[in-house]
Amino acid sequence: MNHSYIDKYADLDSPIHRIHPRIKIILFFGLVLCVTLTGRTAYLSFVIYGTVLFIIAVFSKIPLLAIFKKILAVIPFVVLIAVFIPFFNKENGWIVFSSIVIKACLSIFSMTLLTSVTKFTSLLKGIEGLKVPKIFIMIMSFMYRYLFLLIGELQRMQRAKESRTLLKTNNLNVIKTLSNIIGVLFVRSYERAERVYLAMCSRGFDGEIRTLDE
Amino acid sequence: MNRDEKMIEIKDLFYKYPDGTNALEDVNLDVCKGDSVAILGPNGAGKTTLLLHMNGILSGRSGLVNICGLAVNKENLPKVREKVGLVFQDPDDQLFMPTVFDDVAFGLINMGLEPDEIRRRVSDALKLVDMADYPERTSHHLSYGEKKRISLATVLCMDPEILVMDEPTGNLDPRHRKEFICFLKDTDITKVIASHDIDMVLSICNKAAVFDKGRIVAFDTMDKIFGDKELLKNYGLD
Repeated sequence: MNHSYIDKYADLDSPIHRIHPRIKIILFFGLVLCVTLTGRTAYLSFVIYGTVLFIIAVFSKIPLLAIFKKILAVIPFVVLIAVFIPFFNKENGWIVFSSIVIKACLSIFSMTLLTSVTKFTSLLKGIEGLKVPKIFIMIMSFMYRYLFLLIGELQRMQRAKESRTLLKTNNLNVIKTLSNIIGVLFVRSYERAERVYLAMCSRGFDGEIRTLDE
Repeated sequence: MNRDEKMIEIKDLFYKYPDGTNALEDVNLDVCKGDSVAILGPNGAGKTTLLLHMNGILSGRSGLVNICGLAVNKENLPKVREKVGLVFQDPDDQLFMPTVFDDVAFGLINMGLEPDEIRRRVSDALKLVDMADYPERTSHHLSYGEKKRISLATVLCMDPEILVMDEPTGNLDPRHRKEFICFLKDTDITKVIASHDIDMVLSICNKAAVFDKGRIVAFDTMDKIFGDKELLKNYGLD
């Protein structure tokens, strides 16, 4: 039995959870679009967006701390890219920088909420209904299916490594084993991909993705 | 039922892995309608490789594989894969869709059936493996035994004429293993089962082929194979 990582709170029940996935997808993506198109210094709008998201989060009974953690996990990447802007743009570089970070926070907030109030499988069905190309949906569904397996495999390897690590190791050793683990994980995933493809072929897959039309 | 009708006919099959090792050497095997053939032999003997030839996933360097009278070639591949249901050893390879329903329906959709027919067959197959309440579940939340049973359903729903299974009882707990054996015993589909589970094989199969280093060293009825003490001892099956 594995635990969910992506749609951990999607099994909760709330008025927000019960809304049709397609409507939720349009609303949340629409919100992201609004956020990105808002002017840099329209701070009042940002506050309004944040409040709306906050209210949705409260209504959907999702722990705010969990959402906060997810936003925190993505922010370093945004900052890493945006931090150079003030050096090139001497005039209002810091304004651009802060607006990028705020917009990123709001967008991640919105997407995190979407995946928290919608089961991933209904999310896929929803975007399928919005005529997103099938190949894209297939890749997403594989990602969802095998991400858990990959994490499980990584955890098992880590445990196997730890249970055989008796001496105190220095940092170089840790990096060495870590790179080995990553290498093995890559080879294993590659081989699994090959076997999954064979399993698909066995059930009549010929390169064309077909879905059950509702 | 015509018991002499050859469902699987394999003649002089040779197969080499891309790295040059001989995986199958001069394999000859006939499986008749209603037969349940056990493929026995140590790890790495070539059992899985042989099974992958039975629905054309691998094709030998030389030799012939016929399924229900059809030569396994590119042209016949869709028909052959409809007739042969192959259940992989690892259910995580077999189940690749987001939900159980999607997984069972995958083969049916590829067969081009009507949506209503697909829904009916999916629910029938899930009932058959005692997983009727699971269509909306995601595979990674299921236990190993549940995944193993759904793997079987993904193939059974396609109504195959031949069921080819790689280690079907491996890693199953005793109760589910027993249920699995009872179920397989009751279905009269032609079966080919590669396994190390001798007790299971003894209760289901009527014939056995003993494999060693890519060759079939013995192929006979269950009684004869398991009556030959020397053979069993030589190949570690005792």
